[in-house]
Amino acid sequence: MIKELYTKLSYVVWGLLNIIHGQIVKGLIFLSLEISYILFMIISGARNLAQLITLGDKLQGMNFNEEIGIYEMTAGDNSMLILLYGVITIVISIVALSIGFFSVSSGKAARDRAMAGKHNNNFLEDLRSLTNNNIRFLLLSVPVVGLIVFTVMPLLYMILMAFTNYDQNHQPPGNLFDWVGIKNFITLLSTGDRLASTFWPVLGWTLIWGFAATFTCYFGGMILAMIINSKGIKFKKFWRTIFVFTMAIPGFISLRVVATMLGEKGIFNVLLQQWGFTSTSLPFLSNATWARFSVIIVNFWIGVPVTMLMVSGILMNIPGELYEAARIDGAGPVTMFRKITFPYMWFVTTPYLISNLISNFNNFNTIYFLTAGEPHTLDYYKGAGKTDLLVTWLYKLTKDSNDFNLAATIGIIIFVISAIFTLISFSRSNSLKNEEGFS
Amino acid sequence: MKMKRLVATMLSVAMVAGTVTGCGANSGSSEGSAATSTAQEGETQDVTLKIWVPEEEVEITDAMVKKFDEIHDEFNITYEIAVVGIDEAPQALDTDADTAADIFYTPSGGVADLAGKGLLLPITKDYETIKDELPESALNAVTVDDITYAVPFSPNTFFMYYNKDLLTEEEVKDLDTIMAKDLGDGKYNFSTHITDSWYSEMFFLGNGCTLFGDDGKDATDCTFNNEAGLAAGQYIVDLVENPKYIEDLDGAGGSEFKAGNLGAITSGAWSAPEFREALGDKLGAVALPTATIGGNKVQLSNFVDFKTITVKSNTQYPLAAQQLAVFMGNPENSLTRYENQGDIPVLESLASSEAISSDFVAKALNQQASYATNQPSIPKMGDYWDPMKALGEGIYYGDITSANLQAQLDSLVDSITGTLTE
Repeated sequence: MIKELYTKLSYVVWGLLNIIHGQIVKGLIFLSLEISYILFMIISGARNLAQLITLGDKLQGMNFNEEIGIYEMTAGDNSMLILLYGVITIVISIVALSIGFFSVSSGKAARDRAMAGKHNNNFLEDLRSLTNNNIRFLLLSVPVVGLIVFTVMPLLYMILMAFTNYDQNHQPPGNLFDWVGIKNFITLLSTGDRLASTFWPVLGWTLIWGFAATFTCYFGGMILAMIINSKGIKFKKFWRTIFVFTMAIPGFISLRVVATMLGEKGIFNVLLQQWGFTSTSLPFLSNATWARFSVIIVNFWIGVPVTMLMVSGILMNIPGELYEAARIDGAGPVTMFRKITFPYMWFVTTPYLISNLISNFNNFNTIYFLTAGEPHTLDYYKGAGKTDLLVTWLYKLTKDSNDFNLAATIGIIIFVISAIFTLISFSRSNSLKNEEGFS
Repeated sequence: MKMKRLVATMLSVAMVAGTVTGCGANSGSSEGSAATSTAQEGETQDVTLKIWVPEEEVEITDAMVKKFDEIHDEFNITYEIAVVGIDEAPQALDTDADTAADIFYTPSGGVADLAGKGLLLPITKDYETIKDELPESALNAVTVDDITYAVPFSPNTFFMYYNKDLLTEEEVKDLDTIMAKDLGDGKYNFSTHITDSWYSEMFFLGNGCTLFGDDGKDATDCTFNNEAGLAAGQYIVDLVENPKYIEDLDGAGGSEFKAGNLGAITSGAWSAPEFREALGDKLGAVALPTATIGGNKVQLSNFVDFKTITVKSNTQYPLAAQQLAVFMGNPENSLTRYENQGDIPVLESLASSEAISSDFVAKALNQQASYATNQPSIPKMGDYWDPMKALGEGIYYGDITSANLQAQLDSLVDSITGTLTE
C-alpha cells in the first residue's frame, strides 16, 4: 500500500519513484527542475500570466514637478512586453509540465523494473545509453530546443498580436493595447469595409502574380534548357554560363537597375522615343496594368536561369532509349515533348513547383525593389499600391502606419493560404503518391 | 537574472523573426516611476547624456556642450555624441527607447506622433528664454495639448529658384506669367514635383482648402474635394499637360535647371549649393508665385515644418537633458549652426539679422514660410502622404482627368480622414 502512495505522490514530487528505486541523480534532477519551475512561477511567472489577461492597466503618466519646473514621467505598463513575457511563461509552463509527465512515467518504469527484480540504470549508464540505444533523444534534443526558442515562441507572440488592437493609436509605452478577439479578421475579410475592399484585390493580385511568376519561369526555363541541350547547339557550356551569370549578380541590384531603366526618363523610354516607336514615354511602372506585366516579365528574366539549371540536370536523366523507340515509331519532336519529356519533368518537379509557388506568393524582393508596390491608387486604403503583394503591404503596415495587429492578421492569412495550397497539391501530386518512380 | 537573459535572447529572436510583425524591442523600465535625481544645493550631480546629431554637426555640438558645462556647474556631465540623422533618430527611438539617445533631432511633423506614443519628454525648463522669439507656427508645431515637446531651430519648406537669364524678377511673381512666356525650343518654363505629396498640396492650400482644420488638429477634416479643391485639381491637370512643364521626377527638373534649360523650379534650401555651382550669378530665389485658380489669383501655400531638438521620455536625467536641449536651440547656437551648416534659424532675432537677411536663399525661405501653412503634426498626418501621392501620380500619368477628378478627390478625402470601423 505504501508503494501505491509513493506512486500517487510522484505526481506531485517529481522524481520520487526514481529516488526510491535507486536512480538517485535522475530523481534529484527531476526534483530540482520542479523546484526551479515553482520558484520561477512564484517570482514572476504567475504575475506574467495574470497580466497577460489584461495586457496591463497602468498608463504611463506625467506629473509636473513645481519645485524644479519640469515634467516627470511615471512608467506605466508596457503591453508589448507583457504579451512577450506572457508567451515565454506559457511556453516554459508547457515544457515544465511535459518534464513532469516524463518524470512520472520514468519513475513508474523504474518501479516496475525494480519489482520484477531487473537492474535499474544508474546515472552514468543512462548517460551512456544516450549515445547508444537511446540516441534518438540525444539527436532530437537540439532541434527541438532550437525550434521552441527560435520558432515557436516568436510565432506564438506574432499570432497573438493579431487578436489585439496594437495599431497606430495604441502604441506602447505611452498607451496600452488590449485583446479584441477576432475583430481584425472580420474587419479585413468582411465585405463593404474600406480595409476589406483593399484586402481582396491585393489578395487577388497576389494569386495572379504567384501563378504567373511561377509558370512563366518554369516553362521558360524548360524551353531554354531543351534548346541548349538539343543536338545541333555548339558551345553548350558557354551558353549555360552566360545565363547563369545573371544569378551571380545579387537580385536586388539588378532589380534597382531595371526599375531605373523602365522609368519615365529611363533608357527604354529614351531609346523607344529616339527610334520613333512612340512619341510619349510608355508607363512601364506607372500604370497599374503595365506595371503588373512589367514585374512579371522582369521576374521571368531573373528566374529563368535558375529553372534552366535545374531542368538541365533532369533532362540528362531521361533514358535515351525512350527517345530512340519514339523516333523509330515515327514521333516528331513535339510528340516526344508531349509524351516523354513533359510528363517526366512534371513528375519530378512537382514538389519544386509547389514550393516555388508559395515562395512567389511571398516574393518580397522582386516587388519591393522593382516597384515598391507602386503605382499608388486612391482605390486602396492604408498605403497599398496596385502591385503590392500581401507581404509587401504587410511590411508597409508595420513600417509606415504601425498597425502591427493588421500585419499579424495578414501574416496568419498568408500562412493559411500557403498551407492549403501545399496540402492540396502535395496530396494530389504523383511524385508523392507513387514513389516507385516514373515508368 | 536568468530570466533577464532569457528575455534579452527572446527579444533578439523576436526582432529577427520580426519580419512578420516588425516588432521592435521596446523596453520601458518597469520599476514604478522614473527616478528623477535632483541635485541638492551646492553639490554636483553626475550625469551621462547621449546625443545624436547629423554627421556634419558633431564638431559644433561638441563645442556647444563645452559651453553648456561652463554655465552649469551643478552637473558633471559625461557626453556621448553619436552620428544619427534627423530622419533615423525618431525611428530608432521607436524601435528601442532604452538604447536611444537622450537628446536627438526630430522633424516637427513627427513630434506629435512620438509624443502620442509616450516617447518624448515635455520641455519646460528654460523654455521661456526662447519662447518669445519663436513664431507662432513653430510653437504650434511642437505643442500637443498645451505642452511643448521640442525646441524648433530651423524652418524647412520649399520655395522657388529661378534662372535670371530666362525670367525677370517681375515675371516670377506669377505662375501663369511664367508659363505664358515663350522661352524657345528645348526650354521648359516651370518644374515642380506633383507626384510627391510634400509639394502637390500647394495648389489646394493656396486656394483655401484645409487639411485637418484651420489649426491642423482636427483629424476629421479635409476639404480638398470642395469647389476650391476641384479648381486646384483642375489647375494641376492643366499644368502637367502643358509641354512647357517638366515634372521633377528622379531629379529630372533639377538637371534641366542646372543645364540652363528651365526657367523656375521648386526646391528647398538643400539645393542651394548645387544650383549656385551650376548657375552662379544667374540664380535667383523667391517665394512661391501666385496662380489664377478657378478665376481668383491666389498665393500658393505649401507645408512648413521645423527641425527640432527633442528629449526621450525615459531619460535618466530629465532636468539636465532638457536644459541642454533648450541651450542647443538658443540664438547663439542657432547662429553657429547656420554659419556651419546653412540651417536657417527660426528665431526672430536672427531671421532679421544682417548675415541672414542678405542671403537671398534665406530670404526666400523666410518669405515663403510666412505664406506657408503649418504642416499638421497630429498622428493622423501619417494617413495623408500615400493617398495624396496617389492623386499626384494619377494626374501626372493621365489616369485622373477632368472627367473623374471629383470622384477621385472624394476618395482622396475619404482615404485621408477615414478611420477603421470601430
